[in-house]
Amino acid sequence: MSWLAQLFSRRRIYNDLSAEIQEHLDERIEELIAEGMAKKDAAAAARREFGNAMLIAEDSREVWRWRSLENFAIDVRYGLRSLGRSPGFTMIVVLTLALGIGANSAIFSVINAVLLRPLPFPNAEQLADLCARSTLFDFEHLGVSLPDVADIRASSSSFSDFSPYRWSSKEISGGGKPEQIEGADVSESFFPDLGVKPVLGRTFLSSDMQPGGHAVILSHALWRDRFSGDPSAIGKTLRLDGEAFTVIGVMPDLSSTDFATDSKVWTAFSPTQEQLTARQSHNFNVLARLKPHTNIAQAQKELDTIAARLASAYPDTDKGWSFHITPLKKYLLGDAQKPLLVLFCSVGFVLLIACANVSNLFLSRGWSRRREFAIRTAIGATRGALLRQLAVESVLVALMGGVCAFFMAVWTVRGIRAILPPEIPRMQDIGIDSEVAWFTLGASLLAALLSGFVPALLSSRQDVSVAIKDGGAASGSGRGHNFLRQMLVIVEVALAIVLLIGATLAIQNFARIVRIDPGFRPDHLITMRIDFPKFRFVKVEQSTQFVEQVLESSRRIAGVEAASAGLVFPLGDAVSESTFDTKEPTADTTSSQRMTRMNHIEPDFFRTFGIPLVAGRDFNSADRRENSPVFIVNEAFARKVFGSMDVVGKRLFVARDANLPAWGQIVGVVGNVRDLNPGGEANPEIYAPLAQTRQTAGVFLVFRTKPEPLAIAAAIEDRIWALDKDRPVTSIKTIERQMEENTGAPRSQSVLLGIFGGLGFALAIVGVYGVMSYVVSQQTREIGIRMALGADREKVLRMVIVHGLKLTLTGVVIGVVVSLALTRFMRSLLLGVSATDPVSFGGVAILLILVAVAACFIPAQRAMRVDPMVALRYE
Amino acid sequence: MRKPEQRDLFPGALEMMILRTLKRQPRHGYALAKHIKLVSNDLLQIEEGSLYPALQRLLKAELVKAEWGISSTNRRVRIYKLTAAGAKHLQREISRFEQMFEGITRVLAAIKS
Repeated sequence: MSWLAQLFSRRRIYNDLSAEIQEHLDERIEELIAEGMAKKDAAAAARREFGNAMLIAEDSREVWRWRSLENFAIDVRYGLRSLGRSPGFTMIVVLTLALGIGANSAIFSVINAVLLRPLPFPNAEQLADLCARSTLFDFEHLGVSLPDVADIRASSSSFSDFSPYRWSSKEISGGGKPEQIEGADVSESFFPDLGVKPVLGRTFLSSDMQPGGHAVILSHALWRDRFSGDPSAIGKTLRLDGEAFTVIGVMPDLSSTDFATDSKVWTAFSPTQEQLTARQSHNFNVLARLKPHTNIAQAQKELDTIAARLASAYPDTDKGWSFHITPLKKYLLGDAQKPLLVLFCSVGFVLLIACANVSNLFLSRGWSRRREFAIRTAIGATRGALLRQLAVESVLVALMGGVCAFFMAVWTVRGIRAILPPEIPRMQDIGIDSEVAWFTLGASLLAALLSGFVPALLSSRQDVSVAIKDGGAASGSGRGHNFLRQMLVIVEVALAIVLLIGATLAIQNFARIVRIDPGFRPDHLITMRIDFPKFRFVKVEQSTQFVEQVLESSRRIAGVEAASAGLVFPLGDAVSESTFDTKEPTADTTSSQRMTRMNHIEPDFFRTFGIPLVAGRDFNSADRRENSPVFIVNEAFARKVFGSMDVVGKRLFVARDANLPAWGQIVGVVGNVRDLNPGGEANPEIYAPLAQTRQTAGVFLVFRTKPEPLAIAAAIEDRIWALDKDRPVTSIKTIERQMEENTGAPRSQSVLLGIFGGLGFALAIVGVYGVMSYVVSQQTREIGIRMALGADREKVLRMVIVHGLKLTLTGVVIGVVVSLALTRFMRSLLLGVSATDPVSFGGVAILLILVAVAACFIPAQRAMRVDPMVALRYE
Repeated sequence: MRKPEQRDLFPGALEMMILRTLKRQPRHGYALAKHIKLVSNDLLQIEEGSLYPALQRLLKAELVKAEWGISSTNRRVRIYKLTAAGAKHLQREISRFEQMFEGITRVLAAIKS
C-alpha cells in the first residue's frame, strides 16, 4: 500500500478496528451470558479478559501512523500553543515580519509584471531593435534609412529578417467626436516576426503592401470601442485620414510596452521610391530578427563592419553613423530595470532589518525559555527535537507574517501603482497573482531561516545541570547570545544607513528638480495639440492660416489672457532640432554641421509663456512666409554662438525650401528656457515664425488664462470645431500637469524610497531600543552592585549610553562604507545630486546616531533608577 | 511511545501463532483468540486484546488480509486470511524459532547435567 493510499484509507482502517473490537466484546459477552453469567458481570468479565480496550485500540492505530509527520503535527500544535501563551511577542514578531515581507511582495508584484514576465511575443528572444546613432546628434536612438537597411540585409549573416515600421498617428472620422489615434505602419513580416497571431482575420499579405493599399488591422481596444467586439467587423470600413480602409484583422489584447504594438491601428508600410533610395533619411524604426542561436555581440560586430563600409562608401549621408542592436526585451523594458531594482534592494534591506529585529526577539525568548528547554532535555528530548521545535515556531510566525504580508500587498498594490511614474511599461499588468503568492511564501520561509536559525542554534545548546541549578538567576545571557545581539544591532544600523542615504539622495534629487526655474511662469497655462494631416492640409500655408484663425477666435474668449502656438513647447515631450550657420567663424570644428534646438512659433509666444524679451522685438504679422527670414534666439544661443548678447541684426542661416531665401536676421533675444534637468545647462535655441516654417504636421496651441485653465479648454475646443468640425484636439494638458509628468520618475523614486527608508529606520531604531533595554535588564544586578559600591547615577547612565553608542557608531561606519559602494549604481537615476553627496551622508549618519542615543536613553534611565537592594535580589 | 504488549512472549511469537492458526483456516479476531487460548491450554497469559495490534502489524506488512463477513454464529465479523507472503513468512519464522528453541534447550540441558 503506498503511503498516499494509506493516508486516505486510514480513517476506514480505524473505523474497522473499533467496530471489530466492539464485535469481539459483544461476542464474548453473549457467550458468557449463554454460559449463565449475569449480563452486568458478563460485560465486566469480557472487558477484563480483553484488557484495556482504549489502549489496545490506540496501539493498533499506532501501527498505521506515519511517525515523523505526526510528530511534526505535535510540534506545530505545541508551537501554536507556546506562541499563544505570549501573544505580545507573537504579535510584534508577526507584524515586523509582515511589514518586511509585505514591502517585498508589493515591489515584487511590480517587478514580476514589468520585468520578469516574458514579452507577449513568442519569438521574443530572437527579436531585437536595430537603431542608428550619429556623432552629430546627441540621441541614443535614431532611425535607420531604408537603403541602409537594404545594405545590412544583403551583407549580414546574423539576421533572418528586418521589418521597418513607423509610428504614424491617424485621424479617425465618422461617428462622434473627431479623434487622433496612435497608429503604426508595419511591414508584412512585422507580426509574423513577433509571432503574434490575430484573434480575428489575418495579418498583411504582400497584396496589401502595394502603394495605395487600404488594409487595416485593428487593436483589440479599438475593435471593442468602435465595433463593440463584433466578429463581423472583418471586411468593414474604417475612415482613417479621410480615406476608407478595409478591416482585415483584429489583434489580441497586448500589454503596453511603448512599442509599435501599443498602436490602435496598423496599416501597411509601403515606402515610396524616394524613401527607398533616400540614404539621408535616417528615420525608420526596424525590428530585427536574429537567426536562431546567434550571438548578439557577434551581430553587433557585423553591424560595425557594415557601418564602417557604408560610411566610406557614402560619406555625405553615413559618415559618423553607426548601427546598434538591442535585444527587444532590453529595448522595451531596460529603462524600467534600474529604478525597480533599486526599489527591490531597498525593500530587501527592510526585510533584513525586520529579520534582525525578530532574531533579537527570538534570542531573548530563547533565553527566558532555557529552563523549559532544560527540563525537556532532562526528560529525554534530543537537541534535534528542540531545534525542530524552535524551527517550527520560526516558520509558524513567518507564515503568519507572510499571510498578513500578502494581504498588505493586495491592499497596497493600487497605491504603489499610483505612485509609480506612468511611463513604466506593462503598468496595467501589475497585480497580485499566484506568482506573488509563491514569492510571499518563499520570502516568509527565507525570513524564518534568517531570523530563526542562529537563535535556535544558541537556544538549543543546553547544559542541563547549569540551567536547572541556576534557576534563571544568572547575571546575564550567554556569551554567544550577547555577541549575536550586538552584531544584529550593528547590522541593523548599517542597513538603515544605506536605506536612508538612498532615500535622502532620491529626495534631494527630486527637491532640486522641483526648485528648478524653467525660465517662464508655468501656472495658468494650458496646451493642446491639433494635427494637420496631408489629406486636408496640402500646403503648409493652409495649416498656418488655420492656426492664426484659431488663435484670433480664441483670444476673444473671456478668461483667455494670451494665446499662441508652436511646433513644440517648453518642457513638452517633443524636441525639435535644426542645423544652422552664421557669418561668424566658429570655434566649434568637431563637425561640419552645427545643430541647435529650433522652434517655429506664432507671435505672442513669449508673452503667453512669460519668457522675458531681453532685446529686440517679438515676431509680428508682417513676418510672412515670402519675406526674408527673421529669428529670435535665446541668451544661451547668443552667448554660445556669438559670445555676446548684442546679436540683434546678426545674420543667421537655417535651411528652407529651395526657392525661398535661407539667410535671415536676428530680430530679438529672449531669456533661456530650461529642461527640468538639474545640473544641465540651458540649451541654445532659435525661434522662427510659424509662418516661415517648411512643414507642419501639427502644432501645440498654448493659452494663458485667468481662471483655472482646464475650465476654459472646452470653450477653446468649440472655437476650433467652429472653424473645422473634424479637427481632433488632443493632448489637452496644463503645463503644471506636464511638469508633474516630467518629474514623475524622480518623484515616485523619492516617495517610495522615502517610505521604505523610513520603515527601515523605524525598525532599526526599535531594534536598537530593544537590545539596549534587554542589555540593561540583564545588567540590573551588575548595575546594582556598582551602585552599592558607590558608582553614581551619571556614571551608570554614561555606561549604558556609551555601550549603545559604540554599537551604533560601528553600524554607521559600516553603513556609510557600504552606501558609498552601492549608491554608485544609483548615479544614473540622480540627475543633480552627487551619489556621494557629503550632506546626505553626514546628515543621515548624525540623525541615526542621535535617535539611537535617544533610544538608549530610556533604558539607561531605568538603569539609573535601580535600587541596589532590589537589584541584588533581582530575578 | 508505549512498548508493544508482549511482555510474556518474545517479539514475533504472537504474530507467529496467529499466522499458524490462520494457515489452517481463516478466522475472525474472537475466534482466533479463543483458538489460541484453547490450544495453548491457557498456559500462555495472553490478553485477548493484544491480538489486535499484532493483527494490524500483520495487515500492514500484508502477511494477512481481512474482509468483513458473517461468522458461523451469524455475527458480522472481520475475517482474516493468510496471504501467500504470510505463508512464506510463517515458514521462515517457524524454522528460525525451531533453531532458537533448540539452542535454548541445549543450553538449558547443559546446565542441568
